[in-house]
Amino acid sequence: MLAFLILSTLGSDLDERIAEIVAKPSEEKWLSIPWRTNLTQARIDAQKVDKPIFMWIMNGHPMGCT
Amino acid sequence: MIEQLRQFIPYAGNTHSLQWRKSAESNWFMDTVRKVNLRGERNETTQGFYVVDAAGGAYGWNNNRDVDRVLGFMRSGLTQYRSVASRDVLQIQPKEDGIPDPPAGATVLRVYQRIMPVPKGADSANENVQRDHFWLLASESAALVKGQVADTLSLRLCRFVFNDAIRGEPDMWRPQEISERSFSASRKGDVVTLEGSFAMATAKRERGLKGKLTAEIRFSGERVVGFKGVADTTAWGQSNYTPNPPKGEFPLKFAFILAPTTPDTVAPQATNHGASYLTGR
Repeated sequence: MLAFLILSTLGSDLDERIAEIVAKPSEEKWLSIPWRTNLTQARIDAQKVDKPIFMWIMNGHPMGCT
Repeated sequence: MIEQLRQFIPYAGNTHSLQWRKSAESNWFMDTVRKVNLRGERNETTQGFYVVDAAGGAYGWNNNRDVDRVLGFMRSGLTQYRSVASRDVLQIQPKEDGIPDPPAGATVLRVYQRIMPVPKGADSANENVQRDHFWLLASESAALVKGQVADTLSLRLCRFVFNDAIRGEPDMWRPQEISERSFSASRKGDVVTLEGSFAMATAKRERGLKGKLTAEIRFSGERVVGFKGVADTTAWGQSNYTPNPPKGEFPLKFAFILAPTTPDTVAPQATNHGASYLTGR
């Protein structure tokens, strides 16, 4: 989404080519989830609100290499 | 799925920092996940989904992405979590997450890649969009603003960025697998144009990638305030963990933009190569 906001202020051919490649809003719904990237902080938050932690673990960080 | 996740604290992590590097955080992770997944004991990857609690209780592991199976797994984990009558309250001290921060003065870029168009008959995994980050080092942007291209920049782009990562984690290129690396920069006002041609392939050419980069970098003084780039490449073959590529050569495109300063800006995948990520060597 942010990528599109950034690009919407620009107007060159390069921008149009970038827009074809970057993730579309429909491909970034999962980023609306407040993923923690610090495990200890996730534990602190989980204990505070008495919820389990859902861990998504990948070879390659899910938030950066997916 | 998103609604179901509201019942949890969602955490996303990387086996490189949690399993293969030693830290207090990785010790806790491995001690916890071995209760439900013994792959780590055999030095196999621990990737997948887990439901755990703050104290290290583990309620399940699932390494299947089918939506119904993941939802069922989440429901089961939640039921098990709630069946525990009481929990000790721990004094959990904040720790570093083990993920390296960008070096001082580095500019963080988001990098996307996509096969366009996906050849007919190709596996559906080839329709993925791939995301990563790239650290443009302070020394590299200082060279660009003078209309020069630092050797480290072209080398790091070739080795660590221009890889086919659409279907998983690619093998990064070795320096000796780069057969072409020709980059130039020119400055006009506050904008520097960066152009490059590059080609990489394994010794027996089972896997390769070649293409051209065009980027416009806007500076305010010596600070990068805008970055727009596109690379048109042709790729072929697969890495160890990127199976089922399209047959033969296929068009792979890359886009570069400035990354917002948000917590989701995690370290580039290739930082698991340690210091060589910064030098290219």
